[in-house]
Amino acid sequence: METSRYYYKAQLIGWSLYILISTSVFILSGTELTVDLIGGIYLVFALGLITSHLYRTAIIRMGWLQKDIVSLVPRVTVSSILLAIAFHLVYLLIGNLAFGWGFKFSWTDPNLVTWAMLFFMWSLIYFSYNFFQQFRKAEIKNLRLEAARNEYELRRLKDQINPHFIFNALNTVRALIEENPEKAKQAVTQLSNVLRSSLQTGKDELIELNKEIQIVRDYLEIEKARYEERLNVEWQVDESHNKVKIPPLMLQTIVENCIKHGIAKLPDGGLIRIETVMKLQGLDIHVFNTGRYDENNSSATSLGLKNSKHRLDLSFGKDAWLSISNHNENMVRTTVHLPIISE
Amino acid sequence: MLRAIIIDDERLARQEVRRLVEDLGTVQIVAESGKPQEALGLIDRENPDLIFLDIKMPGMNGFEMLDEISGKAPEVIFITAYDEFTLKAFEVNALDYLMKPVETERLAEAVEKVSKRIEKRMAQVDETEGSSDRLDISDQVFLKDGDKCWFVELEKIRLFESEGNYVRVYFEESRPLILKSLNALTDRLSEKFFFRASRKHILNLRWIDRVETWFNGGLLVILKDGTKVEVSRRQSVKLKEMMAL
Repeated sequence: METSRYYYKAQLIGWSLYILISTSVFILSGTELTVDLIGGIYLVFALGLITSHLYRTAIIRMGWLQKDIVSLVPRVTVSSILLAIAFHLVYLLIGNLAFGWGFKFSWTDPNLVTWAMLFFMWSLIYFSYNFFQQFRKAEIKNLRLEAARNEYELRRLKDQINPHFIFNALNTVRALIEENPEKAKQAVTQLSNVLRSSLQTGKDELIELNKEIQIVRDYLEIEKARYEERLNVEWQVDESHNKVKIPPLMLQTIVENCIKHGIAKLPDGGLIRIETVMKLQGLDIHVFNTGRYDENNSSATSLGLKNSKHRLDLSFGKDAWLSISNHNENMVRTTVHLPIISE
Repeated sequence: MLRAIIIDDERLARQEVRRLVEDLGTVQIVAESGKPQEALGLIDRENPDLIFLDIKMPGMNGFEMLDEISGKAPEVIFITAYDEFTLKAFEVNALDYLMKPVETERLAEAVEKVSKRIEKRMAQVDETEGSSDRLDISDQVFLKDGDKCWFVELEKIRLFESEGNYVRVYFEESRPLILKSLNALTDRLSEKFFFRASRKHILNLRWIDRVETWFNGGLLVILKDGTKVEVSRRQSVKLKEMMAL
């Protein structure tokens, strides 16, 4: 809409400029301004507006705006000449009818060259403006893409370590130092493992499932120290799936989500159960947790999982997916499906 | 010695706070609880001076729990782990809080601040000789309106105004809307300081600037902040009696 407003303004100004310049040239060269002369100038103005507008409609219809310069130059040159001829014929016809100039068409009429030049210049301005616009649009699009990428990277970095988890873990460790120094030592080692892995995730795009499982085991040990009898964990993982590739911290994020939205909200806690099941097309990893998934309010629940979905998409495209649903009355199931990539 | 209760859903976190607090030597932990619902009963029974309160708990968070306290609100020291949402809540509400793991010095400071506030309040209690079951003018209450909450001493509250099922509370520059009925409030507030002016209003007698006669033998009370409150005819008789020597 904005562009077309500019277009109409430019049209009016451009062709008015024609009136201004031709009149000035005649005055400066001392030519007498007859009715015929002035009438001719206004006729060009009116016809110019109409012809160039029809020309523009044709340009848009034929999709010339999407063409490159090399294919445009011959097209524009030929069009300018054809338009000049058509324009000249109509100009003579109306001139004859309105001013009685007589209909004298000649291929050597210098006016023909003038008209052709006019249309060529018109095209030059029109296409330059459009090229410039397209260039700017493309640039904005690029910047947007880059911003989105940066934001994603940033969020990924931020999500690697959840500060809430770290500070709670440290608080647990401090309490354990008094009560159970042996367990406190263990917790420090486990916390170090989790932190080290999460710092390394920036480097690898994919890691082997057994490594990821080790991170999750350490992570869950720390959470068990914190939640005590409120957190129960069951594993049913087949070692033959060890080499399947997974984006680092993906399973950890899912399990953390299960604790945050499941266990932590239940006064008596519950169970987290992790299972792997080999399918024809790939590996399903199921994480079950006590709780209830509110399907109507999925935005809040799946905020952390949204990122995981995005990462799966980046790494595997349509071959991987993540879903969350109520498994039964009091269990929620989160499933990651991973393709098997052969090396 | 201040009497305190610890409320946190994690046993180890409670134990850690207990150890730190007991080391201070100025606070006695009279009870602890991992469940907000259970903690409400404890607060009711023990009537502690102070509670150490975690925010993120299952079932009911710390703010919601405070909102459920029916009597006077004890002093509260919030203890929370780093969490953006919780921190935002504190920003909005300008409440004091400590971060886990708790630093001994900061804990000592917080407890010191609390005991000063309590001392100040005790002095006022002596002055007003108030010691009924009802909320006294020096007691503080916890008010919650959406995400915002306040601890307010009753002497600062000028007026309660009924708005449907809610009551608007006027104090300082704030006017939160709380889900309570004016009748329930009337039963809880000390009659010595709070007066039911009409079906719509309870006013704080200490905030009265002057009283003018109004239509049909009613009265118009003008509060110190300029707010005008109409007193119903029946209550006007009562107010006159109370004001007369």
